[in-house]
Amino acid sequence: MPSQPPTHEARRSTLLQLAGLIGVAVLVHFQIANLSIALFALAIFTLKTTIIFGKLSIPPRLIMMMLTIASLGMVIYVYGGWNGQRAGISFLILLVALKFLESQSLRDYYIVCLLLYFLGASSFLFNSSIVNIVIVIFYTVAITSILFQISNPAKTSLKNTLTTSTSMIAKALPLAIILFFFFPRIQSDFGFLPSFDKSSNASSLSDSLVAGEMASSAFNNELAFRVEFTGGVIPERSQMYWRAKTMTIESNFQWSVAEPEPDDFAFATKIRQSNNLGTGQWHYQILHEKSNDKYLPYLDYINGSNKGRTLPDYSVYLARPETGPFSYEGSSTATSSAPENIVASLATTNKNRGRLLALQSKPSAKLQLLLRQWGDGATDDAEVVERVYQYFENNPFMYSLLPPSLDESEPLNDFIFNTREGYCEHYASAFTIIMRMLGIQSRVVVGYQGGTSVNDNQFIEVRYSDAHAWSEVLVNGQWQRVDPTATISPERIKYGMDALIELWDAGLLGSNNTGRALANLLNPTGLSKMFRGLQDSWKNAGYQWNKWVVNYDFNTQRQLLEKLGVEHRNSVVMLVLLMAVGTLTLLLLYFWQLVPRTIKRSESQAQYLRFVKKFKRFKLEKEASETPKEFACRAALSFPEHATKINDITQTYYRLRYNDLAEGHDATFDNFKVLVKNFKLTR
Amino acid sequence: MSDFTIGRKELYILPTRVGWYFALILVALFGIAVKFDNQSAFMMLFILVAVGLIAMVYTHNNVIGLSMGSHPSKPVFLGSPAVFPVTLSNPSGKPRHAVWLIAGGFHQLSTLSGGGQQTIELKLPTVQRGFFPCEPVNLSSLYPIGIFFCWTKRFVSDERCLVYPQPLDLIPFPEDGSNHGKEEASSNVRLGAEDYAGMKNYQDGDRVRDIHWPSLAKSHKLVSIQYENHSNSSVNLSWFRLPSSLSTEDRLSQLCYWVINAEKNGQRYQLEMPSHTIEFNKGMNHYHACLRVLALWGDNDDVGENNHG
Repeated sequence: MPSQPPTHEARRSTLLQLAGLIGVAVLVHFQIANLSIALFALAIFTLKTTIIFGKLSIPPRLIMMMLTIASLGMVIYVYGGWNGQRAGISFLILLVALKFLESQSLRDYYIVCLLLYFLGASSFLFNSSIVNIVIVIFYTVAITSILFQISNPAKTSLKNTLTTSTSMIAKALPLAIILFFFFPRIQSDFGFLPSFDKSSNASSLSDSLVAGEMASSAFNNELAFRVEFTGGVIPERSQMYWRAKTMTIESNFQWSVAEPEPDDFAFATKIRQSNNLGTGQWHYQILHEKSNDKYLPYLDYINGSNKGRTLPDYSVYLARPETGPFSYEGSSTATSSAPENIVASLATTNKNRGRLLALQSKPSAKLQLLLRQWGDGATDDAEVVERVYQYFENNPFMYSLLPPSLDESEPLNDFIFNTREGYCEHYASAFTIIMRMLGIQSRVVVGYQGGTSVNDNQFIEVRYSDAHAWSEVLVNGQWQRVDPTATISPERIKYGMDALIELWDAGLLGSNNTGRALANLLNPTGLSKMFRGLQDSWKNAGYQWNKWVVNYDFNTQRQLLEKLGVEHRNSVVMLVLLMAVGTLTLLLLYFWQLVPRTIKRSESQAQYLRFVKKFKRFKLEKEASETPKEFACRAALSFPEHATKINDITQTYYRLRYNDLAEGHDATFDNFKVLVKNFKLTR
Repeated sequence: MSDFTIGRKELYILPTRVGWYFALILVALFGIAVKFDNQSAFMMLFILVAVGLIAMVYTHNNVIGLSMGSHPSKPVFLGSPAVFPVTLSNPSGKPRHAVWLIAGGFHQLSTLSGGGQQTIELKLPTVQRGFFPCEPVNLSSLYPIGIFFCWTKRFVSDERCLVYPQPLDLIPFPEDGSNHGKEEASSNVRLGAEDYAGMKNYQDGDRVRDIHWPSLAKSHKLVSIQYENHSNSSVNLSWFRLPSSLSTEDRLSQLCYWVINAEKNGQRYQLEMPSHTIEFNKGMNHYHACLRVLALWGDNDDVGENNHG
């Protein structure tokens, strides 16, 4: 058996660095783990640091055992068990702290370092942003440099340590990237690993619409999804209605989503047959951030999709929400198309008709008067819709991000006749209720409107602040979008929520200076333009990161491979290929190290070799054992007519190589060069 | 000096125990990445895999190409360690870090700069007089992060160290009958009693006070005066004079002690052994010749003793 080098003591400076790193890790986990656990870890960490500083001995075994049991108990108490990501990570952080506390020998510290690697990687379960991976890479370099110091018994300078570990990571990165893109992705569930946390903090659109609730999301700047239009055609901002879900159940000015019924799924299957990504006006890819929403946003009106099931109300339903960020593709048209027939016929069935007309709110006497006015003498439903729309346009309704609360007994009445100030949901809700009161089938649609264009429409970012609600009415067997907000606040639809919030912040919303403020916002100059450019580049980096790394999956991999001309989709073939490529790379790397470098010759030597080479044609070669003088003798014997020249060259070469020609070296060398050049062998 | 260069065929590499733990961490991470379908965790996993592979190449490249050579070692007395100088040289331009040189129970860490070389004195404990062969030498390294370690084929040096018997003072120094009574007197005047024997060219090691300075002025050459020690302090160190109660090793040890003592005192001495005798003389050559006989006593002499333990 091979003899392993002996172990040695870890140096205190290294341990202090390790302590610092663990401290950082513990602090970072304050935002992930439960506060009490983080504090406990911090306490243990402080204890160990004191031990290192004071050169004290570690606590006795009994105390260590008690601490371990206490930490286990804490995890179970705080999280109610083992399972779950948070419980797992909390356990891990406690494990690192405890292991660090009891560490004495070199191997213990090694294990602490390895656990830290693992901890760094597991932080991605909570945050996959580009900032996080940059942090984690730095963290990896730090752990590697500590491993480097621990494994080296001799003291190494900090500079040497950092350069080596940085260069190791730098060399590892290209290899890691190749592995990342080509390693076959499989889908499977390892039951023994902690499962997902149920109370995930991912954002989503609410499944119910309560007046005044959505307005608060106007200030939620969190990213919902990014869209890249792949077909080259980009819709106008005022056409960008991202439908997420429809709400058909009304109760006292509040709307909620009806869970899809078995019928709906039956229709969904029918719709799927006409589902075609190839058709439609706009083609786009959506990179959705982590969300536990069951409905996927698509642009109205959907033609094709590759994720989720399209329901008769055009919403796309996902039975099991994704656990992390995900991506999908879609195609849409401005007006509803093929599935329309099916959808319309569905709407006319009695059951659905009832569903789309059901109301809990009762019109007040004042409202009934108005309803009668709207209904009287109208030739068709379209005219009624137009009349109601006009009513909102012609009366002093105001758009507000902080609308006043409504009278709870008769909110609709209060809104229409008293406050007349609301957010999109107020208008969508009120309009839809009025439609139903007038006997027109209608529903509220909740989703997003607009978005922020980045890098000149390279992609569009849609945030939770872009959340929007509008109304949809069935007129002449066709679903039609009616957005009352568009008439109350055209800026909202035309310029998007960003512009609106800027105006709101400046207190200019609805004032006379709106125009100029908007112009400044939309066409920035000077510094603010530069700032916008920087912001765009940063957003783009994040987008590319999400597109190529965070959302990289089986499908993306297949696309990439097809682009590269690899048709095999079999993961076993892929794995073998990958291993072959990897082995080859390693072998190349290895042999590249061993290839003998050509010996660097001095200039005179090179010239002399040129001279020797001229004899090769005549089967006269210089033996390795021969001195130039011996070779010259042999050559002169073979070519007596050139004897003087051969001698001349050899003499000069000797002078150049072995004499001290500090002065006149260059001249002699030039002379030598000419001599060699002019030397011509003939027989 | 025979050189031993570490080529591909001389080098072995395996993960250390920590390396296996590292692999375990990678497996766990793979499970996490697949289970949560987390691409960033995959990225981290592959970075760590790549770090492991790169570390392997680093470990390998840290030792390959080094060469070892051995040098003759000087005789030592039993009990003090045998010293084998081994030269470790790095013909490549890259520095080599934390290379362990291991032989028997001895290990020494060395760091070589690019093109540098270093002579390491292997110190091995001696347990027996006679020739002591050098233990096979291994190189090993955990560089850079201790998840792989490599070791080389054993380099067997041809060098042997001659181990003299352990000097033991068991019985008093012999007082040879021939010079009995004169020795003590002469020891007092010994330095002054040396007789002039002639002149010779100066040699390194001659005493400064023996230099004949007047000649320097005349011939510009250093000439030193030679004296002949005619003092009667000569001693016969004889195997046969030792009490028969002593074992062979003890006898050798005692003779060894006496040889050292006699040489220290500047006496002429003769070593009388059962098989042969080394005539009266003194000086380092004589000294080592005597000790050599003692060290190898019984080794190549069938008639002699057969105790090697």
